[in-house]
Amino acid sequence: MSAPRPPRLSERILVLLLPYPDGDAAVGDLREEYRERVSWGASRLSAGLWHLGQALAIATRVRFSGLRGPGLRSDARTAVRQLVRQPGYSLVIITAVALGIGVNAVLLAVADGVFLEPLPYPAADRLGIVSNDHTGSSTDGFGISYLNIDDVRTRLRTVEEMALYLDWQDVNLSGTEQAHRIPANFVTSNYFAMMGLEAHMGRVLAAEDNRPGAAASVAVLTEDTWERVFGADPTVLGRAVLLNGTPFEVVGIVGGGERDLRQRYRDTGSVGIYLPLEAVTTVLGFPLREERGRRFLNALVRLRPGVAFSAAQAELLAMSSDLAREFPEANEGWSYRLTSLSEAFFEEVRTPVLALLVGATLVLLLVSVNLANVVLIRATGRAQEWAMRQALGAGRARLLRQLVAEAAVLTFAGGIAGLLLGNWGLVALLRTGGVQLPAFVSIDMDLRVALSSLGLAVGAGAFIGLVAATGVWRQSLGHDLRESGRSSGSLRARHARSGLILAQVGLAFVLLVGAGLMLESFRTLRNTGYGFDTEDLLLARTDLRGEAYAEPEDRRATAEALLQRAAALPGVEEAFLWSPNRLGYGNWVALLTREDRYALYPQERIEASRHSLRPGTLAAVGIPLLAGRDFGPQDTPEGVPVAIVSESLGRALWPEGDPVGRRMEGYRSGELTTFEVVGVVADARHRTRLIDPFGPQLDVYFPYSQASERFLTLALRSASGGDPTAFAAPLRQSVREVDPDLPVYELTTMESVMRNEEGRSRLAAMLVGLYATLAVLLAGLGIYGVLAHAVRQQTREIGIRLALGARVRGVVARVMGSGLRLTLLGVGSGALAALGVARLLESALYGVDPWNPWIFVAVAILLPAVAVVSCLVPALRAVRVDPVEALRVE
Amino acid sequence: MGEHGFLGEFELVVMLAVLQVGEGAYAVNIRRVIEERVGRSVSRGTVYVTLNRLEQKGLLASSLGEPTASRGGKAKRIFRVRPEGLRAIRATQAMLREMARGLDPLLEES
Repeated sequence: MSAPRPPRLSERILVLLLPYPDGDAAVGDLREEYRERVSWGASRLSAGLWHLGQALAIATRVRFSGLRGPGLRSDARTAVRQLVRQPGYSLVIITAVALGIGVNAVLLAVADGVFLEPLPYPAADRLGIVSNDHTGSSTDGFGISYLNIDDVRTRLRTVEEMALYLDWQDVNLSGTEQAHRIPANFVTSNYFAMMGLEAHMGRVLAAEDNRPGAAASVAVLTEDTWERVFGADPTVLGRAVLLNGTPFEVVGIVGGGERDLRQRYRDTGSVGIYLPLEAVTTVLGFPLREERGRRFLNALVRLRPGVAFSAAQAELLAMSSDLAREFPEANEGWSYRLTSLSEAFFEEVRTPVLALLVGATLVLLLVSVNLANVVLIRATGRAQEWAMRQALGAGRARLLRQLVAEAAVLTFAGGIAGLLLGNWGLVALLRTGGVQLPAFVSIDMDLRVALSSLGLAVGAGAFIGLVAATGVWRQSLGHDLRESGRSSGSLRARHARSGLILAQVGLAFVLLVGAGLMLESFRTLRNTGYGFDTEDLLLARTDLRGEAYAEPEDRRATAEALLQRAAALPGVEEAFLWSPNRLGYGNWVALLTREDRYALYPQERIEASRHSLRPGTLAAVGIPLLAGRDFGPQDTPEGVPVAIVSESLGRALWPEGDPVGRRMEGYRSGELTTFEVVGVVADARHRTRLIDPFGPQLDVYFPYSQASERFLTLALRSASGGDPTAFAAPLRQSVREVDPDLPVYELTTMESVMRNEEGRSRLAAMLVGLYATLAVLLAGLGIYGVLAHAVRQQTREIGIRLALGARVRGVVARVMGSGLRLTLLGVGSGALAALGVARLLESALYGVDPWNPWIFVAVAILLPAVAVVSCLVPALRAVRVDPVEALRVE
Repeated sequence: MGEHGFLGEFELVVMLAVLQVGEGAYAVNIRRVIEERVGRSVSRGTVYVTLNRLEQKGLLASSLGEPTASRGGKAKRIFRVRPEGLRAIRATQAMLREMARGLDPLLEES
């Protein structure tokens, strides 16, 4: 076995940075210790990292000691002095670097939280979730059937352990001072060990709690529920509570609810209670073992050590085909899908975060290229200074080091500023609500992120310094003492620079148009309502669940009572009831066809959001009736089933028009029913305000008397100007008076519902805006760089012109002319590109023409304006050329 | 060491460590002796810097040792104390003793 060798990189650092023989000796010393570590059993990786850390520490310590010749410290001091003397130049560079690093830091922080932090479970990399896919369906991730998985679980050889759970239901918890709505997870008892959840008090569920057909009525609370509902009462163990009306005994408290699998749903709140899987029948009314075709469970699996996910997936697929063969009726077209836990949690954010990260890296690269250009130009400007210093005895290496030091100081300052900026940006980003992540993910600027961002800054600095240094090196220094840089910059280099400017102006144009369109679209979105009156609305949900509400008439009576009390609250202008959806949501749907076609023509079924309302509600929320009538007292529970359709649904079912009086078919409480359409209302955006606000809005409205759903939304409108949140407490009180077992949850204002919805678009607009700002800044810098360079080269020529009586205006015009020509070319090509890109953006825009002329015109004015400012500085410098000086240089 | 001829605290420690190791003192075993006797961790960089400084002051002399296989062919830089160094150690210790004279009741460990 050959002896292990420490990383080449860190050895090279030592040799490069330390003078001979110190460097060699240190390399040898570290090799010895490195080998010792490896022989003690340290992994190559950790020993390598240790080695790199030591090499950097030694190199810095020795270099900074300042005793072996002038060290980095004096370089840095000189650099700072240089840069303070040119504040404008320094500020521009620091700003550019700060923006570049800031964007990177934010994305690194997100990526760090999402990709690098291990998931907080034992053997997390072997955990996965099993769900079902169906061939005929565009959506995936269905639940799995108990009978199916029970048949195959013992046959799976790739799986070490499997827990079953149902985690998408909430339950009403009562029998306490106040009723609550609690997110629940029904689990097999091994779930706790697999997830690393331990009881802080009492116990977790045991195998005998899940005895088939004889489930124990026991519940385990999360710490959060224990505190919120029971005030952290230490005597809670053994207490009886009602869950959806069924009595249960509290047997334990677990911590770590924020790590539960429920976290992979956004917006549904952390789990609050664990119940035996067997309790799904008593609490939810789901039959566990009756029907093979009912798919409401998921399985959490831990693979055997060393088994790849693909192997386990393959085995599961084989089982799926077995099942389809044995029970074709229930299993035809269904197949198991295995998702790793990290994929389940981060699937949605992974791609956008990666894309943004790549974008940010490119931006930083662009920043570096531009800055290298500017620094190089400044350096060439100082060619004579360099030559002088060299003639006075400064080593060439020392001069180059000086250049690198200047770049390093600038980028380091920029990096620090960027970190601050990034930190601020991260807070702002998380506040928009556009990024939703599981609660256990903490996204912050930790040390690792900060250091890697600074590392990027230093890397950029080194790159910039090196490019500039190579440039200077190439223009033989002795040469420049005689000639004032006339030869600097070949024609090819100049063309390359012009090309860079052109591309940058073009890119800035495209990004600015994109940002403009997104912002405009966001503004439109804000102003696009739901199609109903959302002002001064307070919303609250409740769920009429349990034995007491088994019959529709009980639900109706309670709904009526709730509504009356709510309307009587002082300061309430009106109160109404919306069910089962919340206003502005459309998750509960009905499948509908024209009469007599439901069974025969399944492909004709149209999915519409369903809403159960009382008479007068449509008028109260301001959804206008276009034809026919509203619900009324004649629509009794026993009367003819009636419905009101939205304009778009009417058109979808009866393209020939006039839906009033026609009949349609769909399921109502488990029975195929024929409904008579009695009215048509205008479209309201219950579900697609953000997705397709101007597309067809398919909604069907039923009278609550005939469709007495369990889920209720109580909506209160305060007397205009009043604060709707002031009703929260009285509303809770009045619900408790009607039935103390009813929970009130999702208490919110329509205002904040809308704000949350807009978070994502606001975020997108913000990000594009940020990239566009950067692009403009970079384009400005680039133009400045190229022009400054040109002026420097023409110093003599300009001097002669001025001496021969050329007018100042003429000189300025000449210089600016060349810059503006480039800019206009860039604007032209950018506009063409933007026309194409805008078309691509179209699907992400709301109510904005992608070729909105105003945005194009605004950008076409803005960019040249920035260019004028960038050109002005070098142009004015050209004017200040003293003819005598310019000529004397010869 | 400067004109006064005394060693700084860490300089003194390093000089003594070189003496403790005796033949073949180089950065790795010098540092190890210090860590063992003083009981606290010392950064490698500081050891290098101090060794360099002491050599520049003419208190230590260094030579390149035999390259060995365990070092991947890199030579050791071996240090030994020069007579001037020994003098400086003595002077520093004498100075410390002088400064501490009469303070025994205060300084003695209880």
